[in-house]
Amino acid sequence: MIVELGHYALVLGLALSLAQMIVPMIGLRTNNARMLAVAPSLTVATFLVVAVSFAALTWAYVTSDFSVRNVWANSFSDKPLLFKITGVWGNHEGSMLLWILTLALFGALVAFFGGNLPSRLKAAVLSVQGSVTVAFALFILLTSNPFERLSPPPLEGRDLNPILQDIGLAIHPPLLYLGYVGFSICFSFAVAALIEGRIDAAWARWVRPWTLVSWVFLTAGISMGSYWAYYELGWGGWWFWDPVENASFMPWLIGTALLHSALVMEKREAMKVWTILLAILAFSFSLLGTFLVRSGVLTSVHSFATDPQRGLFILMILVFFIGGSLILFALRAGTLRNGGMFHPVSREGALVLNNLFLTTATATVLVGTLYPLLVEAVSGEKISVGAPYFNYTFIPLMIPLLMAVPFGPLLAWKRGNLAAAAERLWLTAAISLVAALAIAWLIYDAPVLSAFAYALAFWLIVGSFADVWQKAGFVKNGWSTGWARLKGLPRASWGTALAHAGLGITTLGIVGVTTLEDETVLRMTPGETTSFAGYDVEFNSLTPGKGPNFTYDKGIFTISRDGRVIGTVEPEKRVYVASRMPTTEAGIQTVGLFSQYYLALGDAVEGSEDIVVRIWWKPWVTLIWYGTVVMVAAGLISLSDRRLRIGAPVAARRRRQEALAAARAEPAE
Amino acid sequence: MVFWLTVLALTAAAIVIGFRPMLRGSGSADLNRAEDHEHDIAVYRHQLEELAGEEARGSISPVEAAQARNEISRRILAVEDRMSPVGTAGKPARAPRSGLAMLGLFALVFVPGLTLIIYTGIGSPGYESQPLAMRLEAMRDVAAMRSQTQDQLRDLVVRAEDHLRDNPDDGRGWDVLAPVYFRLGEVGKSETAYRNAIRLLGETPQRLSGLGETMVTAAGGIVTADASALFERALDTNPADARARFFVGLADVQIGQYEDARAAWTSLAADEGADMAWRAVAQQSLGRLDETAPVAETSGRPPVLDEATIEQMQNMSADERGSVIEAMVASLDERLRAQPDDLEGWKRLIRARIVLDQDDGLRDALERARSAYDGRPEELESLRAFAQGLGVDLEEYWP
Repeated sequence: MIVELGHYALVLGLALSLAQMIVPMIGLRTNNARMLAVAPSLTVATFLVVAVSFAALTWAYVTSDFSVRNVWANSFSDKPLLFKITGVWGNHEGSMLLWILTLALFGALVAFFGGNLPSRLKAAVLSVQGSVTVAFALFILLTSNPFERLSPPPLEGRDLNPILQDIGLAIHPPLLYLGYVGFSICFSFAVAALIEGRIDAAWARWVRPWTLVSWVFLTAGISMGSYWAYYELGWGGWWFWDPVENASFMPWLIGTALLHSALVMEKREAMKVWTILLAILAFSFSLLGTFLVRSGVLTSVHSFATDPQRGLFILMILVFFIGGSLILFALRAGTLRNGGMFHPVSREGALVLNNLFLTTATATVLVGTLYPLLVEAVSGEKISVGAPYFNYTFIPLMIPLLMAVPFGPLLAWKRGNLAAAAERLWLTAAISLVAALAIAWLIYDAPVLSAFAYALAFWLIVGSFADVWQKAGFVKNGWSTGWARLKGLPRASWGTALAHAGLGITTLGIVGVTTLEDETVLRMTPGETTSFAGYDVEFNSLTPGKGPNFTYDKGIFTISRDGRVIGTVEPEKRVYVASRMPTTEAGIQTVGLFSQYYLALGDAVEGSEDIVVRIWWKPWVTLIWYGTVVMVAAGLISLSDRRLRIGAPVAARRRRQEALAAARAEPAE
Repeated sequence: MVFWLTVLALTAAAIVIGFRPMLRGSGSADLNRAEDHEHDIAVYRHQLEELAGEEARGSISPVEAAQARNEISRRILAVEDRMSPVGTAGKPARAPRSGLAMLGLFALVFVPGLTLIIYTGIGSPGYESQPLAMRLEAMRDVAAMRSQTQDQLRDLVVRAEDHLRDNPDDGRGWDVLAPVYFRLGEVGKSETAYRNAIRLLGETPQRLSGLGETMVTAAGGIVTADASALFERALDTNPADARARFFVGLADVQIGQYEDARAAWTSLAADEGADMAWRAVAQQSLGRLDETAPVAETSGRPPVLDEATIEQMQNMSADERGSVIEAMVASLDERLRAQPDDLEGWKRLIRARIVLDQDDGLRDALERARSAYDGRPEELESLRAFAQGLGVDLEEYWP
């Protein structure tokens, strides 16, 4: 009964989201307050029934109900409980249900926290959000129903892809979806603004927290996915320029640009076209990612099922929403009044530059992602656009952008003074150069070019705080006043500084691991010790064993330096019983705070006890992810700034009460 | 019934939550417009406060602050412009309609109606959830009941055997005993009993196909030429005989006539007048035919029973369902004799034998599986691990 109830709830969710789409739209047309008033409650109702549906599917997974085709195809009765639950979204149908749940969740959040929004705008936003929910609910019910039943039910399921049987699956997809789908709300805000014809500073303020939330989740999701690939795939890489990674990276780049342009629009009512377009584009790239992954155009660990019909359906959704919103934009573009004017050298100018670089970078990633697909579609030839392409296009675009980052916050609005900003940054530049030279010359004998890369990373980290330092004015005002000012700074300023610093930390990690990484492949016999990258690695033993649904060979290695043991790593090679699929579990030892020693087992050498071992020395690699953690924290701090939390206007409430009081008083007279 | 009540409650709750605000307030939106502008003004007021803070901290110069204040004030003025009657005069005020009727239509007709139409179209209302633990429990119950009835049957058989020893020409006695023997797994005795019954009472389709079935079972699941002749004869008299129809299909599979087999089983599975258990077996076999037969457009999907069959299956007594399960297991067993290289099949069979508490069957399945994978340590290890996981005492069953 629970399974069918879940199915029914999903259909009810479709009907409610249809109402959520249509009713407020009629309300806006006829200016009917009653119809506008039900928009938030309908959104909440949609979310609740979709949640019931999702809970029912989860229940079916937990109890191994193989009468549900989706459970049969992706679960196994002996699987640990955690992986039964995460298996709900470890497949196409279930992940699409999670997608819809997230769509409905964001709608409900706007309904719940949107007290500061005018009711017309709120109703329009929720209506557009409802239309996205309708599209995906139809998609899932027509082409990928997770509640399809089997009768009679098979006795055992087919198990989940072993690579996905990892704690990473519990975290990575939900975070990523919160990010991806979060941009649907920004899209809804943009379309609602176009429909309502109100594209102004207040709108920009209202859309900002939602951009920030999505950006925070997307950052965390991408970072988590990167770390997961790093330790699970056993190749030692943390970013592969894989089309699926790119699919999540493009909305991030656009989302980052959106975040910055919404700031300008809020302060100066400028960059309206940018902001609206970026809001539409960010979600368009999320949809494009979904299309690439779900249509079967790409094959990877992410494309669970490939089905041309599904691809076509998503393509239709894509064309409808992107095309529709752009047409609406074209119709409304004429009504956009010019906002505040600004000089090219100014905060606004810097942010335009930022947008230009980020969108161009996105375009290069898009070309690198789609070009091989187009070539294959046209000529049937399989080509691969690998890291070299991105190194020659994406990275040269990033370098000037990263160099410019510390200038941005130091430039004044409207008309800035570049020379003055540069003057304020001389200390930063000096510190970065000294630090970089120290690294390049004292610790390692690295090439000069990498010294430049280090300098860039430090420039970012130190420069991020130049603005805060400046505002505190320690030099001018003395310590006590400085501290007081520092405490008085809005959290958003801290958020900016921290986010830029996080970017710098990630850059430092990337530079470190790219320039200093070392790798070796060798044959080892148990008992043998090898010396690599200044550490001694002893191969103690190789033992076979058995896990709940896999068998493994586990190697035990001791890592030491100058006779001092640093740690033991236990890389494994696993074979999963049900699918007979081999996977690797890398052995990772963090050395110091940021560097890692990474071991993966290769094939055993026939006729001996030897085994092929790959060893990587990954200096500073964890900084890549620590940097993203800092960025996420910065986003959260910014989000907690009170300016994003102003509630419904007090004046309105008071005026209404006065009106009411007056109305009551009248008859008495 | 409980399902539909729950559905009703869920729908009602969702509609109340979704549409509740329609009962509050009026349809007029004039006040609403004014209020909306207050939201804008609140943002700009707050921007002014912020500006004052920044100025006090000295983060921006007084000149810049003054300019910014000007800009914000202009925004406030613009909003107030829109708010004043002059600003809205362009649009003729519509007579405020309540909209209640349309909202009611949505809440009470559109949402529940659409949901019901779609759900009844694509859902399987009434198909209970089948958590694995519950299913294993139910199967164990069936098995327990079966062993109980088997005990009773054995008593009856002993008495009947006594009776037939004295009256060996009692055709009706043999006729009754033959299927009972078969159910007790005494295939040889069953065959003899069928032959006696046919000798004494004459051929009926029932007896012919029954005899054929015992011969197939005795031959390890192979439809021999003799058995095949019996089924054909049974069908001459009664073309509807379900058992004969099934085995004719099985014979076709064994000689590679997949299309004939598919036709035979498809018609059997779809025949509502036929015996339920055989229809289910035919349906199952059809599904496997799709997987194994070298025919184009194999879907690789497990079989799906049609709605009517599902319903019938749910209406069956535990005993009937038990025999359906038994029949499925038997058919799996037969298939594995014909195609022993099917690791998943062996695992299913082993699990089924354990669940049905058939000790001999389990021994047999394990032995055959092991000989099937003789010399392939990986598969053997997988089987061993699987059996161990199900609690099989390996010392005893896997020497």
